[in-house]
Amino acid sequence: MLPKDIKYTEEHEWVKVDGDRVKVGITEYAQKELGDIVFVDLPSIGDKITAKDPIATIESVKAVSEIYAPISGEIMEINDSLEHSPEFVNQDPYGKGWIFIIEPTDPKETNNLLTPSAYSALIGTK
Amino acid sequence: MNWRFIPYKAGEPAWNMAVDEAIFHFYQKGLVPPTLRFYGWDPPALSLGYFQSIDKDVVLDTLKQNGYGLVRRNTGGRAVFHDRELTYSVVAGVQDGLPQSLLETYLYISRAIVEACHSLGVQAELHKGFEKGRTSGACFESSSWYELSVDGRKLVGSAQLRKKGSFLQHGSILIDFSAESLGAILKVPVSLDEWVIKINSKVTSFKDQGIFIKPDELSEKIIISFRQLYNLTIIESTLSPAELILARQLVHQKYASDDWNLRRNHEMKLI
Repeated sequence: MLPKDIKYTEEHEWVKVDGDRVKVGITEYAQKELGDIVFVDLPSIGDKITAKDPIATIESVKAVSEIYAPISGEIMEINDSLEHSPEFVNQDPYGKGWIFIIEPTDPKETNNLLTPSAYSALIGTK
Repeated sequence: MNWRFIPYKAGEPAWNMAVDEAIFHFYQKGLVPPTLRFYGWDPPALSLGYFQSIDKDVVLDTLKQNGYGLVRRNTGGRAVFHDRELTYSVVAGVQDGLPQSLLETYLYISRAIVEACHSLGVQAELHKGFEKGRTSGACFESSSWYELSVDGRKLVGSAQLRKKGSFLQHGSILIDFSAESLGAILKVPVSLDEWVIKINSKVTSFKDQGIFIKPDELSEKIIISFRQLYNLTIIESTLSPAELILARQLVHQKYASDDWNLRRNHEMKLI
């Protein structure tokens, strides 16, 4: 079951609006596909990012994948704990496996993201 | 859908990796078709996963004393010793009808290799699930989804780099295998003898299965399988001039450089 209070991207990221900031991670579906995550190359605080640009890299035993900016803005926080414990992304992708927090340039941009039902349709689940 | 294949040739480690990145670059731009490439390694070389720690996993002195090469891949996964094996690369993506899902792309490629193995009398099967546990940095120590094994012993290891809907997959198909050679250049947490016994119980090769085949012959079987299984037109081809130029640049700027090959994780952001 997908969390209903968050939005999603076609690149299998989740985006949670929290006040004037948004928290981003990868979905349960993505972490399952990737298998054991062994490294997360995080962006830097202060990075100015543009929607759909690659801004982080995640490596599992099976693949190196890019993580894309779901919206434009500035990186305000990163989850440092992933540098030593990348497995948090596998264990708790919507919780302690979060990856970065963005201050959006335009908060309305999140309206363009996928709803839980649209993302469910994308990955073929209910 | 038309694909091309670049026929088997042995190359230097840096060149091998540079060519694959060049193909992937131009494929993402829509300038080259989906590509199947086969190659060998001269000299034999250890390739490391993109983020793999050289300090933790590799015995550099032994590697150099034996005259082996070393290169870091841009795909994930763990260390592979390329000696008596066939390496393949596949560059393709959703725009050419391949699945979006990581695991389904593995399945797509592995099914063709399974067919090729069967045609040669090797009863390879698709591994299901991820195997936990790690005692060294060797790719062949454990199997994961849709990698190929025979009676639970790994025959083919593979890893991907993914960007948007496109991917580059590297794979190593063992024609012969020496756990002693691999164990000598990797840091192993138990005695070498103990590790060799363990790895030999988890790895197989064509020779181990009683099949003696040359890498170019095996590559031809795999091309036939792709054609038959997916009704693909796969045309023999060469690299484009632009791919060759980019590959030469990537050799010098990246794959032949210590900055890239010897980096540690905490130096990542300097690259």
